[in-house]
Amino acid sequence: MKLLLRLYPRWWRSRYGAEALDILQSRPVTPSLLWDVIVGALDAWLNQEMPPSGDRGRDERMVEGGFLVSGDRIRISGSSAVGAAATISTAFRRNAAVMAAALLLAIVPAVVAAALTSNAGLYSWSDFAGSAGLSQGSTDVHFAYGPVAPTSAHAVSGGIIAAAGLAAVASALGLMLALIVVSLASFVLFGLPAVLTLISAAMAWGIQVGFGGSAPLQGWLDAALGVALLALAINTGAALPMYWSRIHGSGRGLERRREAWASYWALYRGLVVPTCAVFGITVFLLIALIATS
Amino acid sequence: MIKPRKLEEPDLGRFSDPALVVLTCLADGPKHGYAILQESESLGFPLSLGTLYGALNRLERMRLIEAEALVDRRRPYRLTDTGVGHLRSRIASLNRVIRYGSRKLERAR
Repeated sequence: MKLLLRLYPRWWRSRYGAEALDILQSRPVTPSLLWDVIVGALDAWLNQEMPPSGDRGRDERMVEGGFLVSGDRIRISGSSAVGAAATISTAFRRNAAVMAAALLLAIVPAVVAAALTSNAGLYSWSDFAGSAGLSQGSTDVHFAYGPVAPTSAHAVSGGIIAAAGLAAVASALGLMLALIVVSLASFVLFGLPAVLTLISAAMAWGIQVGFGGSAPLQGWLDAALGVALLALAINTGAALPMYWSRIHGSGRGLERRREAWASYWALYRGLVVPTCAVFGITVFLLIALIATS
Repeated sequence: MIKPRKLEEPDLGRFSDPALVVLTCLADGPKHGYAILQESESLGFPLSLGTLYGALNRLERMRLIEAEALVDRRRPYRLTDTGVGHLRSRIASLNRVIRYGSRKLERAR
């Protein structure tokens, strides 16, 4: 039971934990009780805070997505003493649990898919389609990659670098835009498309990794797609409170939604955009390597 | 005719009904969470743990209730003057709905 209460924020446990534990221990553990505890924990993370008369100390004074909070809420303009770094850092701490949940949503399907693909001895998407009954599959004996006659490396020309750079910028910007579109579209549908997209993308990446990394550029391809998946996971994690505020944001609903959006944008700027930039760099390197190999 | 609800009333959203139960349980004096839970069960509107503490947190932040000092690891809550006013207002609204609905049912027969 104590472990279950670990799902709640620290301030919540210090405030209500002892009493809640007594209540939990006085009742039979049923699925509905477990569900109630989990939903209550999510609510505590997303919609509750230490009451003004609570025992919050000076050191627990928090800055939340552009709002300085200490007992009563005091609004401070975005360009004031609250720096962007502090805002991002606070948004990250505030959303750490949901970000971790989103990363798990990506890691678990990816690892399972990679392990299954590797154990099934599949080396390509056509093998995968064949094993899934979508096509006949190839009956040829497979090598991780076919023997290639040695070729001399091409010189890296300015044109190649320019093309790779252009592709990198376009792919990074494209990923940033796509993630915003997924988030906005998912907001209407309570986050379901974003979560399903994340799980599907993680499975696809896991399958791709499970094919093996011995082909010349497969490692780079896996890395590029992995960075894109990481960006998607961070974006989904950052947006989960936003979706939650739509389901759950009654009461001080408007304020709650505004906070969730502010938090999302802070995390988008602070974490998703840099990850997309890293994706662009890996695309640049991948294209440059392809062009010169 | 039912008067529209006053705009300045606290909006508790989906916690509106559990909050009403909590406020009703506290109407006769301070109680801790466990006692509120038990009274809500005897009242016929059992609150779950998550709902109870969600409602307590919101009510406290809205200053409709306030916490007292811990007693044996349990923290009693009591109604504030604003909370008493809110409870009276909610009960009056519900009474109006009941009277209005009853009259309509009578006329329909």
